[in-house]
Amino acid sequence: MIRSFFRNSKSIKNKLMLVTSFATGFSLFLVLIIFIFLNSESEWSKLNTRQAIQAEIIATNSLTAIIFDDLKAAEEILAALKADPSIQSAKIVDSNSATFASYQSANNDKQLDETFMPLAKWLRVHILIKHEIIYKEKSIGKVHITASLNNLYRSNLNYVLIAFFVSLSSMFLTMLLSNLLLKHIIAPILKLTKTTKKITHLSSYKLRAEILSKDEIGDLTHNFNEMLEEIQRKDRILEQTVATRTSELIQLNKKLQHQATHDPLTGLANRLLFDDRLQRVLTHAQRTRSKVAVIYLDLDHFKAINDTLGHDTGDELLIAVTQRMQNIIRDDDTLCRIGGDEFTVILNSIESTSDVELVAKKMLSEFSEPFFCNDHELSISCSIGISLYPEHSQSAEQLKQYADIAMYHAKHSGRNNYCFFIKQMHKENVQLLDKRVLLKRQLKTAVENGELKIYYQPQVDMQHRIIAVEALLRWKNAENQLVSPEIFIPIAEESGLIQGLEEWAFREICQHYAKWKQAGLADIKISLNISGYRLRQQNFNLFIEQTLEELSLPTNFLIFEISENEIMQNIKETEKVINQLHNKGIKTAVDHFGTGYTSLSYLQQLAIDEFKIDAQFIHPLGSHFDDNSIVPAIIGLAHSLNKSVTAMGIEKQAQVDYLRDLKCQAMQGYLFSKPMSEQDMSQMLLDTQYLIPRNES
Amino acid sequence: MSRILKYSFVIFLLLAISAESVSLAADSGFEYKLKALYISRLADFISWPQSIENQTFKICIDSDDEVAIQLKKIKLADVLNRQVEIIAPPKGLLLTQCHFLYISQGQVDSSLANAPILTLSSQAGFAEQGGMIEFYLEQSKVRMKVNLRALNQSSIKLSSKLLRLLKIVKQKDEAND
Repeated sequence: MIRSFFRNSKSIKNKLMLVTSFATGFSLFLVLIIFIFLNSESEWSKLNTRQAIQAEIIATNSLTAIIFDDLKAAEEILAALKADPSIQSAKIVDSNSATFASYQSANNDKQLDETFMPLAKWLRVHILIKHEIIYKEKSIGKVHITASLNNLYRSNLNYVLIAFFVSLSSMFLTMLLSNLLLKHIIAPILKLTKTTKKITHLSSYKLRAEILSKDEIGDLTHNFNEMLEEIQRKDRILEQTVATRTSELIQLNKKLQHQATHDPLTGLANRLLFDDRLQRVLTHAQRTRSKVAVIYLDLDHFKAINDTLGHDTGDELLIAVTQRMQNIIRDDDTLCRIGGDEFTVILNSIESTSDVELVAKKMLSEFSEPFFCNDHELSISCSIGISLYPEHSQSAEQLKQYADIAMYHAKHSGRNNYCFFIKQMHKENVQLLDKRVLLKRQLKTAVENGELKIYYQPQVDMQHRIIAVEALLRWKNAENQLVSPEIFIPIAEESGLIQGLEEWAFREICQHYAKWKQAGLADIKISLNISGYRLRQQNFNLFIEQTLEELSLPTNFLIFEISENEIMQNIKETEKVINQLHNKGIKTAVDHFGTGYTSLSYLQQLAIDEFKIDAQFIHPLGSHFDDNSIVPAIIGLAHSLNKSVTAMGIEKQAQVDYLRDLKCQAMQGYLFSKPMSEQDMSQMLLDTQYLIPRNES
Repeated sequence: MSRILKYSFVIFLLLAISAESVSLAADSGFEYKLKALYISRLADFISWPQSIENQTFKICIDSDDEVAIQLKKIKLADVLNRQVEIIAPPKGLLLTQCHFLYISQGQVDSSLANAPILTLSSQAGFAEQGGMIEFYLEQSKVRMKVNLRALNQSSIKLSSKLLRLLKIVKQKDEAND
């Protein structure tokens, strides 16, 4: 109860008052009780003494009564004790403890049994006095006096009651007095409490508590004020810090938001912001019933630039393109970069389709001038797809999709072009996309399913001796359709499957050669197509070395064919790689020679062994010989550079004859053999002993 | 029943005090025995003038009295803590030498009126007729009467303790006055 009071009572004054008055009352009560106890002790001893005296008087007086056997006299003597109310009973006993005379107090009928007397005495319920009656130095009997302590206890009880009431009233008095006095002690505390409440309420650390006393409370108030001072100071610092941090955060947030919505390279809006802008523009257009055009622009062959000239150049080109685009569009149109080389433009509030056409044409014309990036002069074109709101669709998603489709259409129809979306495109695109998706999925499991095969087509010299075979990749998919490498190689490149595919093919070819070698066909050479990009990767070279080592194969049976364009894309790197291959003993050939733009000075430097004339130059041969001056030129060039020449796509004997005249060294084509499986190829080599029978007309 | 008890108590008491073996006697004998005993006790509560206080304690009694016979059985010297003589009452002046004078028969000689002699008797009316202490029976108990006037005329003093037990009587002629 007391604990709960002290916990729940909200006033220190009440607590102090209670403590003070309780302590006063209690101590007073204690003092009184001690006093009563001492008094009782003294009363008890007084009573003892008195009874002892009385016993002695009785003993003296009753002496003769005993001697002369006078009971009456003895009783008379005892009756004198009536005057003492505390005496309960008295008796005179003889020397044999037989009662001679007795006295019983009239006002007290309680008489204790003798046996309980010692106990009663010990408990101080009674006083029992015994006094010997001496006659001639001999005890002739005893006087017993039993006195009751009732009166003493009764008065003690009264005293206790008085003490209790005195204590109670003193408690009450103390309470009254302390109430008056405590007011002065509590007042500063109350004042301090009031101030703290005010501070909390107003949230102001400027307030100070008034110091009303010089005691500990005064000290407390002083310390409290100092604390407030400190808090005020810290608060100020905190506020300043918070303000600084907040502004920093705002700036950072702005920066982050900008980063999230903008392309860091060109500073253009990114796909996220583009989506947002498009949505807003469309909403606005809906309200104002105006037209909007979504333009997708994709750079043609940008990947090649990135791959050959490096990403720095690619990046610079993108920046340059951005600058030119920004010159064309109006301020309130939005130019975004949504992917590597993909740009979009939102043209709002357009009047007619011809306006859009005008913008598209301007864009294309901007690409007619070459870009100068990183000391490179780059001629690049772009393909543009356009979708219109509200003609094509009202949904932003669809408008984006349609512009994209239109853009692909423009690419497919020869690049450097723009194209408006038409419904038909959508269907075609869906079909095309579906086919690509399907092929991609099939390609993933093609190797595992054994759908991919290496075929070999022989290369012969002018005497029709097989000097080499070209390894070609064949894919017969699950539907048993032959898929052209022209279709699946780009898919493999896009989906990242190309690396695995190349490694698989190389290992397969090496294993085939190992077989042939065992069969005694060690002197055949195998040429295979390697992309320049792949070749430049250090890990591919390592892979080649490891594979050859694993199968204990030499290097000299390999001829790596690299297309002319790829050689020229990164000439310095390629030169290094070709030299490395040359040192290893691997021969190299320029594939599709004549289709690219080869710098002749470089050709001379490169340690290339062979030129392969593209089939497109060979094809016309034999029909309008005079029209073609390229093939002799190429062969002449090769001879002058001391390289051997292989003509591709030989189908007619006339072509063979023509090439023999030009002193071409090797030929390849259906005229000699179709590509065939490894088993067929090795069989053919064994059967023919490298010599293909002449088929001369 | 209680009476028998009380007597036996008194006998016991006697034995205790004097350490004397007293043979049990008949009722009448017991009365004399008590009287003899009381006489021996009385000396303790009576004071005589200085002149005779320390003398040999003399008890004058007719030697053929039953009380005298019983007295002789008690070792009085031990009881009184001094020399004791029991003598037959002599004639004449010599009587003044007695401390106690037990008169078996007859009045107190008027010549002894002022003498320091405690006169005792078992005769009825002894105290009223000028004797000092008279034994009488009350409810079969031996009690004593005292004539204070007779006592006051002599220079003998009784202890108040003893006086408390005695029945005070007046002299007959006094009552007649």
